[in-house]
Amino acid sequence: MNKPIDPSLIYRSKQTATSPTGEVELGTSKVTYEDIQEMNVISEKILSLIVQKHS
Amino acid sequence: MKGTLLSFDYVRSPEGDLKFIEMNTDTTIAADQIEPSINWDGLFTVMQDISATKLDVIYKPEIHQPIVNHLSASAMSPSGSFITDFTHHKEDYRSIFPTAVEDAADKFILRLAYDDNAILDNTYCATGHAPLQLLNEYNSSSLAVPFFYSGSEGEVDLLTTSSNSLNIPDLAVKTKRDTWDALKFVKVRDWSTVKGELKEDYFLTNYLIHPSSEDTENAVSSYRSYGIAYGGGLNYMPLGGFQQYSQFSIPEVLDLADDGMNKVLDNKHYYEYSTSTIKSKQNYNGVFTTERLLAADNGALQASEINTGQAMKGFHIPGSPDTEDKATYIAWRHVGKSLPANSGVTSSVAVAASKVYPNIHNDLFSIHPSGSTEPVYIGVDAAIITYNSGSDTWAYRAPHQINQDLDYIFNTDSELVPISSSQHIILHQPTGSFFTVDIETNDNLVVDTADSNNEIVISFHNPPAKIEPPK
Repeated sequence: MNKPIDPSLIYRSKQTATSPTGEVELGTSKVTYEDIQEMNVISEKILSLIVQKHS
Repeated sequence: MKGTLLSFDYVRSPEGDLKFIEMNTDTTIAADQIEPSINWDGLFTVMQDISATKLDVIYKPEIHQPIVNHLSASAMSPSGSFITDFTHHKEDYRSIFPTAVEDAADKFILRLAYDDNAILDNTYCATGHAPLQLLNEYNSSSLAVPFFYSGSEGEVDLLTTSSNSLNIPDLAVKTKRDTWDALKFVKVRDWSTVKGELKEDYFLTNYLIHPSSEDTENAVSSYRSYGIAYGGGLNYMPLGGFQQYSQFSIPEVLDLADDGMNKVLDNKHYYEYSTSTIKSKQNYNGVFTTERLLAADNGALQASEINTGQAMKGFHIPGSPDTEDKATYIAWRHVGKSLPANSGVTSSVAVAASKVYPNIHNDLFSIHPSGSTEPVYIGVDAAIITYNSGSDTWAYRAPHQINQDLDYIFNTDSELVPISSSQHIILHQPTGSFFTVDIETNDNLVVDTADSNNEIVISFHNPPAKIEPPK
């Protein structure tokens, strides 16, 4: 295979490790307090059900 | 007291609430996400409540070192000042039965490593449908994504048969036991046949997506929470979490044959519809098949030309760790803009023939040095030596971590060379292969950049000690 890679073989590409701009950053993350609380309630529920099923 | 670090994954439903997807041990977190996402105060509070002053951590350095480093640093902060002993128990990456650590009244044993003896791990983490079935069994299925499972444990069908937009899959399907290519996405054309087509190998979940992902963000996202299950009652100690976006935006169209058949999407769509961090469960070390590695005499060699005893060009950096333990050399840093004194081109001998890894995924990376007419193509697991001006450090960096605005490679005079472009490339089809070679005594190979008379040095670590997935 020759260089550069034939563009017809490439589906998509994007720059790696971009610096934050404040917009939605693909591949990066954020979270709110409310989201965390919502997840914690369900996670705790699942663990309690595991104990209930196996005790 | 014993505890296990867990992560729980969620997705936001069209109605706006979070739905459980799966849970995991052996879980990891990107080094740059630990500080904003994880807080250990809950652990320290529990330890103080039970008068535990000793903290033992069972982990795999290959995947857990950053999070253990963060815990260790937190234990030395004022909130962890009561901890008198912090003991590391390092497990091999391949281990599924970690060493047992004797419990004591003044000790908290935190296990990060997967344990195939624990029901929590071998049933509810390694078997993706198990927690979904558990929630269904206890009339709590509304907390999770709707699913369909058919197998040795009977059949459960909670799927909804409404379809998403034409450019969004309708199902996420996963192998019944965790494997390297466990997750695939399906566009459903016929809901009456899709379950029968896939139920032998997969369990199926509705692909849920909130309108904001399509209307404003143009990217999918998922949510992850971290916590510790501890004690016989699996009490939950939350540590934090984050929302993760996909690596690539939602495509405008799915180019699928209009034949009315259900379609399992090509792997090229993986980073559009999953929110997985960039990783490989294969060994994509080294360079793509387009590249050549430099011999000691400056000859450019392809994979088939590198045999045992071949003298290869290397790059020596005094002070960098002389090891093939990836966790160790990835952790190495050299502060400052200049390479250590006496760094330079040297030669090493191939101790085996080149290793070739067929590219069964669709992705690779390119680094285009400033002043060069062509990029260099490399694999996801290559560890490239760069200087990062943001952190003012030299290090071995994964291709996806390279920031073309902040990272530099170098030339034979150890001067910095800017990177004009660093790209993550998705191919239409799995194509080509990657290759590398184990050399001694120096471990850093050099890529041929012939158009610049090889004055530009792109150097990467030779393959790490062989590792296998733990499960």
